[in-house]
Amino acid sequence: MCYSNRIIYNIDDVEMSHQKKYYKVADITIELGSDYPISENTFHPLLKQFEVTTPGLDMACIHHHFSFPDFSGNTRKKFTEVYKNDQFRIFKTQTSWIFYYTSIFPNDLPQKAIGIMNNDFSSVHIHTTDLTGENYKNGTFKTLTLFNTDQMLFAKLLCDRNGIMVHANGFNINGSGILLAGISGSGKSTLSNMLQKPNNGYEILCDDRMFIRKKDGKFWIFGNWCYGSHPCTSPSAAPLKGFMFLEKGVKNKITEIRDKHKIMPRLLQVLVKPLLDKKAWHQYFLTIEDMMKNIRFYTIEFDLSGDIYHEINTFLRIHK
Amino acid sequence: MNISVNMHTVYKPSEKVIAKNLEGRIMIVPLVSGVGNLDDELFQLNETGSAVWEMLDGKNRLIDIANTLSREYEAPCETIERDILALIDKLMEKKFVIEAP
Repeated sequence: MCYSNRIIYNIDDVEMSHQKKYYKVADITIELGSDYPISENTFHPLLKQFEVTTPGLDMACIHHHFSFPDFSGNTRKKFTEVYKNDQFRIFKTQTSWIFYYTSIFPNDLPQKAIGIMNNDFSSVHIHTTDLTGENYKNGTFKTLTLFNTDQMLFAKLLCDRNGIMVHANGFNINGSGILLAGISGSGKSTLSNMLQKPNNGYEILCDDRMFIRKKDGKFWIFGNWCYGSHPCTSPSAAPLKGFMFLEKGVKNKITEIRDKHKIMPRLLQVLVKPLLDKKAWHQYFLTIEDMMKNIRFYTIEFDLSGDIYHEINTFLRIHK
Repeated sequence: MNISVNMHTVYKPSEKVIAKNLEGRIMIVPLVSGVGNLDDELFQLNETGSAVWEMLDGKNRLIDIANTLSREYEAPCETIERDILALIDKLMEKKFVIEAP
């Protein structure tokens, strides 16, 4: 099912293993296959909590190969470069996205990888040449794409599913979700550390990368493994009750932003920009529009006393 | 200021951007080979800028836009013209708008 859109290239693909693993995040199930055997240590323990035993209704497939595809001759001429930075060169063809990845850390494995995605990223083939069966077996990889992050994959998958990714810490507080959004240095980690106390019902869903997606008519927030600096992750999800932008202040206060024109610049600052073509951007904008209409946005100020915890609890009691 | 911006010229959005009106403000995404650039910022125009953008239909000259907005906002035409020239100059510089044929 997941290989029907595979790009055709001139190598013999012999799948050495029919093992599959399944990981679920934001109601999307990722089927992971590999030409090498996958062991319990191939992926980092953080990903284990997202593992499920069966395929789901909404699937994307990733397969790991251990040789590079042959893009010789006419195939290569059809690539159009669409993005370049220290780690990625990304190309587009009519039917595929091609990611050339190079790690900036010399001890990383893999150092280089080529990812071939179909247009909607439902079929992803990752090619590397510097992994042996042994170091794949014990890889403890923190991503399924073997790139430094899976966020490019999910940014696109979410966009096609009325979702977005934001720079925010997300909390599931006894079944209610809040987002604490802000750029680096805004105090997200400070506030999050203050809120996470044993047995207080505050579960952090992810550090600095939260998935938001519409589900059953409401926006939900989803934990994921694409964390920023701190390895805080959870497979939990919760309906979003408040999207809160951190603001410097001296009091503990949560204030609703009623003027929508004041929300947009703040929201733009915290969006994790997806790699999208024109058509997908139209969909992305529709999701943003929907969020602006149906989510309440707030500013949150806090001092170091920890009393903001009570403000949040009161807020959630009012906005059940 | 780009001296080639002219009030009697017609301008229109470039095909190298995608623009959307969100809550009355125009959001602009620059495209590279048809794909949104990950490093570029998303641009948001203010109220006046958004009103101007909405009228860049490839038919209205800038002077026509200025006259319309001058009436709508009850503001002196000279002020509106100055603002429009500055805006179009910036948008031309970023290649968000082009002269319409």
